[in-house]
Amino acid sequence: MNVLPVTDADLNAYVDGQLAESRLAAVEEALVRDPSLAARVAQAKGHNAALHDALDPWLAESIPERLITAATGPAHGARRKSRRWLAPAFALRSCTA
Amino acid sequence: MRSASDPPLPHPELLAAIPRLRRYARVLTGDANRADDLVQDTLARAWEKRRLWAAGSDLRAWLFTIMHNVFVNQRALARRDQMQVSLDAGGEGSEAWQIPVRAAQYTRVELAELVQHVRRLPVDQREVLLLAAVEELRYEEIAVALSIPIGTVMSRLSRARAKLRLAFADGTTSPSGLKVVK
Repeated sequence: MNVLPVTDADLNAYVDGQLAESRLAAVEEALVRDPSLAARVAQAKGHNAALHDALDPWLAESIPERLITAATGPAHGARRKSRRWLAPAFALRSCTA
Repeated sequence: MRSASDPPLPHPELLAAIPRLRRYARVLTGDANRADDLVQDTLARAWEKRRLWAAGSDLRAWLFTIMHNVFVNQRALARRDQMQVSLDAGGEGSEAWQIPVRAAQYTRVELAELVQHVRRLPVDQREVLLLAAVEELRYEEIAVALSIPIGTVMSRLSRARAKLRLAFADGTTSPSGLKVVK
């Protein structure tokens, strides 16, 4: 059986849980064979987990009112200073809403 | 062009997406206020462009696409205006980087160090790493969100991880919790 060599892309996909099932056996075998690859993968997985530990608590923060308003619809979404996305019709609508 | 017949975006899903958009924007911009501005502009843009959203498709992935475009445009404008308010550098002590601690296995310092390394990545690598590792988008979704081929997603991810590897290869700076497992 010809198995394609394990690539960087395979290792990343393995770390991120996106590896195609057809590649799983080849990658796991490579990890057993090569401790340096295994260490790399373990480190990258550790970084993923640590980034979640660092950044997930932000998800629980209360959402500022202006963002709730912006999510509500086109008449509410524009930032005052943001002229960039304001089509004239959009601005008019805001005024008359 | 907006018309009255444009279908509305699903409001509950839009609201539900905000915390993740804020988290991503915060690491992207490095500043909590600028991040919320970016989220607000993204939401406004989403309503403006809602005709382009295919109902039933993943709203969150689409919002990341919009946020990327808004962010890139704003960076270009900032450069053009010679404002050079660097969107990458500075703000070390800014409120965005008060890393909260949730898990016990890493100290606040260790997590902050990792986040700082991520912040120092070039923005194109930072985006891909965050979307893959934190937002857990499929690589295909990241390619669509950033308008790049999937091969470019993979190479940016490899470069980002190689840099983090290098950053923690020096034993003196390697936080215990983030060390390579031997």
